[in-house]
Amino acid sequence: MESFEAHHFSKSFGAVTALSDANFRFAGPKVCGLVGANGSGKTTFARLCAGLIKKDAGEFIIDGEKATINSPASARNYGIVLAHQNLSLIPDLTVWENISLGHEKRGKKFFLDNKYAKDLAGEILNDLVAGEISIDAKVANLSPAQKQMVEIAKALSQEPKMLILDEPTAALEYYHVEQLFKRVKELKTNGVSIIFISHRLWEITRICDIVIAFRNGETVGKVDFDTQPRDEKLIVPLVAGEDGCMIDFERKAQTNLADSETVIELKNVNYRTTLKNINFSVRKGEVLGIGGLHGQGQEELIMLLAGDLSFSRGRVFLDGQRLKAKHPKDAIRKGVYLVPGDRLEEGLLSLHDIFENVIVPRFCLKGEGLILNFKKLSAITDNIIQKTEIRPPNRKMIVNNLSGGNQQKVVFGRWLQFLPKVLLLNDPAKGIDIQAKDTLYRLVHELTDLGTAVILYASSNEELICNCDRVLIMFEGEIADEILYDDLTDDNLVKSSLRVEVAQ
Amino acid sequence: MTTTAFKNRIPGPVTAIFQDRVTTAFVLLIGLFIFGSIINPAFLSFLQIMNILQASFFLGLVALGQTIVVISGKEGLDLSVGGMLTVGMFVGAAIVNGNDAYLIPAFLAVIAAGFILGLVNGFGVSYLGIAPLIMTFAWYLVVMGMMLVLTKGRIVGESSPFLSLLGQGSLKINFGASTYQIPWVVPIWIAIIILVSYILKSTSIGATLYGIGANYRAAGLLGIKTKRFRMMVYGVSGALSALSGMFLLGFVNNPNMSMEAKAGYMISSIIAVLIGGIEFNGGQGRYLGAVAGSIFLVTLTSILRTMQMDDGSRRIITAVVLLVLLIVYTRRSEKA
Amino acid sequence: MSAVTSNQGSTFRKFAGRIVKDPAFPGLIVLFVLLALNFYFQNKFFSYRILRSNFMAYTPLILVAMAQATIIISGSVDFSIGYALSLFTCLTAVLMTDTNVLPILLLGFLSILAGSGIMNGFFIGKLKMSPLITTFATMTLFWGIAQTIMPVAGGYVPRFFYKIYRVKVLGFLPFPVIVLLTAIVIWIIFSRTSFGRYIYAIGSNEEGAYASGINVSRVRFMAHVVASIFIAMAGLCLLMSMASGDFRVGQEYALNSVAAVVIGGIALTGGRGSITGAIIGAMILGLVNNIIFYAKVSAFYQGFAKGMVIVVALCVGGVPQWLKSLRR
Repeated sequence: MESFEAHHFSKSFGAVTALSDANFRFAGPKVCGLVGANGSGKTTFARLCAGLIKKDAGEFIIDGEKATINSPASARNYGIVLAHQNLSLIPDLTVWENISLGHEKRGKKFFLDNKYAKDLAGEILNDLVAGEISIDAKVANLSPAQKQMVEIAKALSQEPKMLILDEPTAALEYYHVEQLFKRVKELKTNGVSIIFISHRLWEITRICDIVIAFRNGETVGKVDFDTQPRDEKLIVPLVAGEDGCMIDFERKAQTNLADSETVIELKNVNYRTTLKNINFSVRKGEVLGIGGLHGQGQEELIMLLAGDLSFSRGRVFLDGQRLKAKHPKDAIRKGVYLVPGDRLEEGLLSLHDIFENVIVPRFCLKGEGLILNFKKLSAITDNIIQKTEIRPPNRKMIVNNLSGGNQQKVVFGRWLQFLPKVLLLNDPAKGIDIQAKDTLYRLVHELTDLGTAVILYASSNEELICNCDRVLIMFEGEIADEILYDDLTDDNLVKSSLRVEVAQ
Repeated sequence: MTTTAFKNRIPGPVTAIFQDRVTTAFVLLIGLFIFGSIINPAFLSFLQIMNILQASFFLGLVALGQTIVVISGKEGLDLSVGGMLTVGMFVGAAIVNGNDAYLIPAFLAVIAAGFILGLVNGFGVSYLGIAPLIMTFAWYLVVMGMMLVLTKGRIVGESSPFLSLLGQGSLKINFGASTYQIPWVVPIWIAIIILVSYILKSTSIGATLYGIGANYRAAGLLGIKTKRFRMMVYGVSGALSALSGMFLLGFVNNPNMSMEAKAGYMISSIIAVLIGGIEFNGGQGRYLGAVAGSIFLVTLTSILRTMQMDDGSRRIITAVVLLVLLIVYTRRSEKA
Repeated sequence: MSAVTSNQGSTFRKFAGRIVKDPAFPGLIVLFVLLALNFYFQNKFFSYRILRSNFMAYTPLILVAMAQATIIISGSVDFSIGYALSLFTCLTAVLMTDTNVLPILLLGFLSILAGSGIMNGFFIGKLKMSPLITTFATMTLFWGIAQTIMPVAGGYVPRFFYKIYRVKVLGFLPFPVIVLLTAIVIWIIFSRTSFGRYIYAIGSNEEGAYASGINVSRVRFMAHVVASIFIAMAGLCLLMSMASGDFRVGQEYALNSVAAVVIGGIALTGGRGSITGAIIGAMILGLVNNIIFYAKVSAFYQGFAKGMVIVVALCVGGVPQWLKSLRR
């Protein structure tokens, strides 16, 4: 694609304005990064370009001519293809069926040419993941990282002129990411333009030629790496606005645990084949990080402590007493609270308002009456809204209409109505804007000052370094390593996750 | 208690009426009454309206069960309501058998029977993961089949004087110069509506119901015993349908096994829920809407009867009205 | 069976593995068991005469199950199938004379296509109305029309016409089997086109299918239309079998078609299962019917027994899920 322009796009969903004045322009083929906080409109814009949603206003000009995109098919006509996390994969179909879906080639007699489809799938996948995924596997049985690669393969198979990648690396292992970047460079050489949407600024600076930033639904700036240095610091102010510059990613001070008792202790915990021989303990006021590559059992460990999984062997002790959490209600009654990984699927009743989302966990507590005391509960909710700085501060807001960061504040904030003994955080800052992340961790540390023990799994090493007293590295379901406060560096975390010799 | 996304727009007065689903249902109902009175001026008489309310009560109680099942989410539906109703009729008739003394035990037995049978539905749906549509329909066949076996087609037992009074009799109020007769089921129904609405809106039971309907997984992680609760919901629905059967016994004096009528309750209760604006995805809706829906359906049938149409033609008109409603309701949900 | 294997490994092993993993496999086992039971209750079960009469009786159900399967795989459902059948029989029986058999049949076919296929497909596919309630409404509509056309069972079907049902084609194949084979061929043709794959796609993940550029409304519409072809064929067989029109026949086909599909391993949520499953499921229901009759179960128990069989089949299907959740 020679040039792509999008002028003055606006799009609203009901009362929520996703885009108010989005502008996008570059002359290709280039890799163009699109950055912005959650709720800034990046994904909405991507979907508009791909024809998945219809615009309220705006104009596309492709290769110098006006273009009308109002359906996925019309976007495809212009060669625009979007690969978004798990957007278009059909779980019950196989990998090769998915890759050619929507643009199957017909054989001689009006029937589908399945051999062609399979060969094509094999070829493209080999380029990306070198034989790791079988084309006959059902997509439902793949890991999230593999699904993402199939999604990308599917986009590639359509021979796009412009490829939009929306957060492609979030679920991927680092070696997948390397392969992907290699492919992206190859595509550029072949004349394909790429829009690369990501929160990960280090990837943006690595692979993009120019970067366009959105904030609150508008384009607020552009950084051109042909003329400017590849420095994240140039991008952050565009994303975060003036207040963003004030946020310093400081490391928290190490907690003095000399007088702290152990709050939670795991002895010899096993869960099917996913967790083996887990032994550790956490003290009052301590923040224990769980690290390692994706999918080494971290999530299962957290869900197990939350009462969602039943473990086969081993014991968990809370304040010296045996904790048998067969159901989340057991955990909640004992003061063990979970902030789950997927806020929409696991953490929120999206069609309900903030009030309802906050009060639900009270129902399983002993002593909570059947009849709701609206006065008391409203006060509690308002208090939480205030502490977590939820915008807009209205407890009757339907959570579906809140931005990602505010939604996460509800998921996390609801536990502030109690004093948590143990707080389980499953990647709490994933996909939320910088301000929300800052508020969240500030509140976490306030809780630890009051004695809460925190177990934190984060997919970003930086979060682990800034917020933990020590980190346990998991590998293949076991605790493979422990990194103490003084040794907590990005280097050490990466090396330990990969099970490479940790530098002395 | 719950609101839906489309309430976030600030509406003008007319749109406001149509955005609230319950109000829409009542507006439709009033429209139908007006239509009925055009066909037959005697339609809007107090007596006629009371007759319709009385007839609607039985459907309304069944529709209550359907409402809570639909709200409970995961494509919740109870197609066995006709069967539970029949069980209620026959169990009630067998125990009471003309004798008021056994009335209270009969009520208890009927509720218990309906509840236990409903729990089977709930178990299959909640613990075995069987789709409600097919589980409840299959269980309906079994229950009806069982009733056929037990009764061998004969009529066994009958209503008692007090029960018949409740079902058929009226409360007489002197107001001004005239005496108004309000069928007993009407104040009973109003009491039920008030009680149910309170439970749904202001207790943790109601909030839990809406919660599991809105997001089953999240509700579980927040401490709700979702599987057990969901099973109970189907139990309650069964109990309510059986209870309606008991009252129906009072209305018709003898239990009967008319298959067609029982299937009618199944379909009508679902339609009443639809008209009431309750979404079949679950997590939202108010019983008052289903109340309007029940009355609407009974009124429609009544109007069509006075127009002296035969069965077939009545069905066609009902079907067309239903399709029109569906088109309108779907268009509205789309806009949200 | 829709999945295709890759070319490595021992072919027989792959083939056997594929069959065992197919969701219809438990149904196949049950089918064999039932065949054995039928043989036990009715010695002459495997005789030509008995087998043929079974096909005559149950082919409409098998065809209806195929129709329902198509619709359910696409993520929809159709309760009006039974009364569409009623409508077919009433409409044709009331108009048929000795001379106009073919035109009237054509009329019947077209009305099923229009009513059950196009109308349902339009409401559910294009207008996106809820399939359950829409088909409740269209069911009521067909019921009403059928009842109005023919309030009392009767009508006229020429003898030479309905005798065809008992004819042996090519000397040994009963006519219903020919109809069945035609339907299967039609299905195979459709399944090899993109339509065949797309109904699985929209049933499995509708948003994903849309994002892939599939015209979801059109595919869903077509699913209903294709299904109506099978319904019309079922109507034909039913008409020949009953030699009259009766608006009440549709009653049991509604549940039976859905039950057959579920027993055959097709998920009600869509996206999974195969037409073989539907056929096996329908055969199972038919055989159960037979057993209940030949085991001399009293008439009163028949409804109960049939329902129990379906419930048990469902529970058996559901138990693996329950066990899995216990292990969590």
